[in-house]
Amino acid sequence: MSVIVWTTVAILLLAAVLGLVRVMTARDDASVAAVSDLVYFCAVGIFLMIGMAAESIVLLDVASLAALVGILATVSLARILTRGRR
Amino acid sequence: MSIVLTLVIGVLCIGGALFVLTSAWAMLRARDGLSRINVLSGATGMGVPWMVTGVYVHHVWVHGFDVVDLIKLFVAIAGFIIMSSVASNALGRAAYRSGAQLDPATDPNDLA
Amino acid sequence: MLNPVRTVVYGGWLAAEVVRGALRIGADVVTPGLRMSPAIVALPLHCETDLEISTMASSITITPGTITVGIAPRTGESPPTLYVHALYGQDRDEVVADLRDMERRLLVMTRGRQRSDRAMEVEPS
Repeated sequence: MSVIVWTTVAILLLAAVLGLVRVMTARDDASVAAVSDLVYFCAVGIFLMIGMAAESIVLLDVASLAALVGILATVSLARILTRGRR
Repeated sequence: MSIVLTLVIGVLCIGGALFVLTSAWAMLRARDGLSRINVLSGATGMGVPWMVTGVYVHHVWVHGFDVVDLIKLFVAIAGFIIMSSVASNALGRAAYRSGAQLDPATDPNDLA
Repeated sequence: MLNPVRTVVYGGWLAAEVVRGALRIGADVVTPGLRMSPAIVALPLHCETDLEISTMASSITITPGTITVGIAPRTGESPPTLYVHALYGQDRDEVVADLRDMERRLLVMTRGRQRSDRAMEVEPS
């Protein structure tokens, strides 16, 4: 089980680092918004995996809350991109 | 039994993480912001739901079956899919309207 | 009310499309050379209700390789139109044919097969 958990965490960390490398090289606002979404999903995935290794009982609550609240960050970024216009 | 369950969890978690990695790699190689928003849906539509399903299988294995947990799983998966697609719609529209630099190879462009 | 069996059939088909699109993009980015050539195409819809239009826009977005960047509502004679950014848009007809197939399946889910076939026979107006 721990092999699965740490392999998954390593893959997700690699994905987050690839996204951050992209932010370092391309600084247009749309790319930054897309990468911030990706890093959010990587963070949720890493949290789920480490919680699974610890046999935590709240993981499904965390997953459903992350699914329901994650839209706020993206929509705020969309408003920032258009400078507040809709 | 436990070997089968471990295998299922492994395929779901590592497979989901590989979808996320594919999206990240595609983001690294895509040429404009709109394409980067475009390739994100592979991670959100498949990668994270697979990982949540793997976590659910592990949860049932360790803590036993409960209908409430099944509902939470469906809320999480439906939430990730619907949330990410609506958010990407908003983000794509905002990116286009804010005048983001498009790939010069974008052709045909009916919005131009 | 939606038919639950048809909803599950459409959901399963959409999941297969998401995997197919992700594998296509994955195969492109891990091999040297990039075949992406983005395009933005206008897609006039046969869909009528808000549910059909928003489900269509979300289904397009959730498929890797295509994303909705604009929704024009029905104005006068022109049908509701989606503006779709496609990652592999070398051939406009191929992109539109794929999206028409998705729309046909969506209308089968919401209206049933016979009314869907009748709606898809004519050009949207």
